[in-house]
Amino acid sequence: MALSPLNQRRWRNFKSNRRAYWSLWIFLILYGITLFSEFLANDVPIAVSYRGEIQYPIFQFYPETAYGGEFRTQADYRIPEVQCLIETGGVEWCLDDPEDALEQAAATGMVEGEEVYEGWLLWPPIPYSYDTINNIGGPAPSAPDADHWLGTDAAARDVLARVIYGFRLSVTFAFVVVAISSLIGIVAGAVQGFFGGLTDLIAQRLIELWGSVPSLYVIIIVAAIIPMNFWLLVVLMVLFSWTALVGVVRAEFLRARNFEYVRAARALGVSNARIMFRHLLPNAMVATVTMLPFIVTGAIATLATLDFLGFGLPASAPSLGNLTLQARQNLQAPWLGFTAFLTFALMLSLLVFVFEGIRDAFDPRKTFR
Amino acid sequence: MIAFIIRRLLQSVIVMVAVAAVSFTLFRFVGDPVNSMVGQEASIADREALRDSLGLNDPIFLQFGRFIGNAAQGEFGISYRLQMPVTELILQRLPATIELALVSGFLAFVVGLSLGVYTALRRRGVMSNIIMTGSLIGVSLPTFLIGVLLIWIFAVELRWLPSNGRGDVVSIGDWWSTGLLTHSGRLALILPAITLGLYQMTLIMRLVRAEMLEVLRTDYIKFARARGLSARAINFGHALKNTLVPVITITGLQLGSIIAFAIITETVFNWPGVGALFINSVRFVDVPVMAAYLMMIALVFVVINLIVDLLYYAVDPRLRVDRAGKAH
Repeated sequence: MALSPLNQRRWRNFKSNRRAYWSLWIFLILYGITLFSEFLANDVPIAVSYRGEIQYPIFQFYPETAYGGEFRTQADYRIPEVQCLIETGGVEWCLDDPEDALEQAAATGMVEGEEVYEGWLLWPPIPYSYDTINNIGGPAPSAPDADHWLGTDAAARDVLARVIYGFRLSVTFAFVVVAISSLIGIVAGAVQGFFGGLTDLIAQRLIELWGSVPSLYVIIIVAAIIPMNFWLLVVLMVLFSWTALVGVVRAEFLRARNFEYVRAARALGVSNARIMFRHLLPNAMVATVTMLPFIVTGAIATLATLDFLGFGLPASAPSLGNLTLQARQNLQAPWLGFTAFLTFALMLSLLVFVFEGIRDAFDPRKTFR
Repeated sequence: MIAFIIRRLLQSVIVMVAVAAVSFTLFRFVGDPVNSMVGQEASIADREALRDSLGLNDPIFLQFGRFIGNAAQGEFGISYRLQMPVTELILQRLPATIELALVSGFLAFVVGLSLGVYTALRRRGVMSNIIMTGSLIGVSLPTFLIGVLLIWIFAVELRWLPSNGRGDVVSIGDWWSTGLLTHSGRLALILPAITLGLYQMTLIMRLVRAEMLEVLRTDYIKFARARGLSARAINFGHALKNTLVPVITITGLQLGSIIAFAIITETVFNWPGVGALFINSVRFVDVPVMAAYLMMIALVFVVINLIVDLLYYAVDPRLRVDRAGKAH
């Protein structure tokens, strides 16, 4: 895709802002990595070699019986019996004494007279998922150690795994909310600004009224009554955040709709929709881009706040707000609070720096230097 | 002037009725409060009797009319959960929230103003850059996170300040109570006030800085310099004074959101204010308390907007000339 000269200049301006440029890269890398959270932190192995056959439990369900075990439920790869079964190719002695079986296999290649097919398990770097309840052999939350690099939370779940999934969840949530609400906001603002008059007047009064509804409270009340999930929360957030962009887009359209180039387009018989989105919208983008960062960080903060108050996503979801709540309830466990704080600080400051760079790059006063 | 006030009042009334309608409809169709009030053994007849006595069987418009009528008189019925008049319940908790909001608003104003002036005057300084970057992040970090961090530093590690409640309070008159007069009350106020005011502080700071930079470029400042006035007289007597109008407006407007968002800070610090009352009421679907609280928040916003508009009018003579010019 070729960039227009204007956008090329904007991109050059953005690159010349070192802080924003590097923040963008770090953020993209972090988000890109967390998109593959399942390969990074999971309680099933990425790949398993059983009797010479390579299997991918991360994608597919394997019952324990597939490895010569007893249960027809999903194999629990974290217990020694199952690990032994896979590594020896289904030797029965594994079910009685996995340690002894492995020792015999390593020493003689035979276990209790049975032939051994050597197998292996390939684990993700963090062998816990966000909802794995770990046996930590002590009271939860437990402090960081070699197994749990950032400790465990109050339900004995690995904090690092939860942070990785939580980062993905927060950022994805914010992007989805911003994408939908800016789409609605831009269209609404464009229609109001372009047509003006009575349409504009009525819509403005309605938006004023809608804007005076205390949104946080309404979301809390709804969340207290209906069981919350990701998409319901997205809908609720969009419901109250789309108005943020209407004002600026509308103002730009109102200003530009009687400019010469719009009149010229109209005289040429260009349709209203085409004038609005082909001719006017690019000019309104600057104002839109200026507003976007507030909506993004606002969405992340609102999600975290709702989770903290206990009216957000279910408690099992990997939420950073819930981590902060646990930190508040377990003041003896500072690793929870520090992890939450540093994650938020990193995520939000990267986003803020990137957006600051974008805003400056779009600023006409700085573009035409 | 009179016409202006009347128009603003009318707008305020419409907003209030709209919020009342939203809260009323939301609550009317939400859960059955009777379930949370009676035990499982209650017979259907008992439940019906209770519904009748609460007026839940009346037509919806009658209920809404009664709701508005009662709300206008400050009457929101009896809390389903605590069996106390809601108005009394809220008045009991209100002093804690107002005290917290005022202290943190004051803090935000004073600190924000000084930092804003400092960063505007030392625009290229290292310290200014640090403050500006810090404020950028401060704007975007959720407040409860900062609250938890402050608790950990000052209450757990250093053990200087309490992390819970209001400390000892002194009653003044019939219903006002204050923690400002006791040592433990003042100590307990520090952390919540900082947490609550931090966002507004960064906002005010950035605003003051932007306005100062704007004003410092104007001709009358250059003229003041040419007259040989001292830097202090120019910066504070001329520049700062002219930045204060928007700053006062924003601070005033923010006071409303401080009270509204106290709900989070109160949860973090177990502060016995109206926000904590609201959260507990939501958990128990205590409709009258939720309705009253929503109405109260809307009222606070409306009143503050009104006052700020009038203040604006009083502080900035240009607005008055403008409006007078339009009227004639």
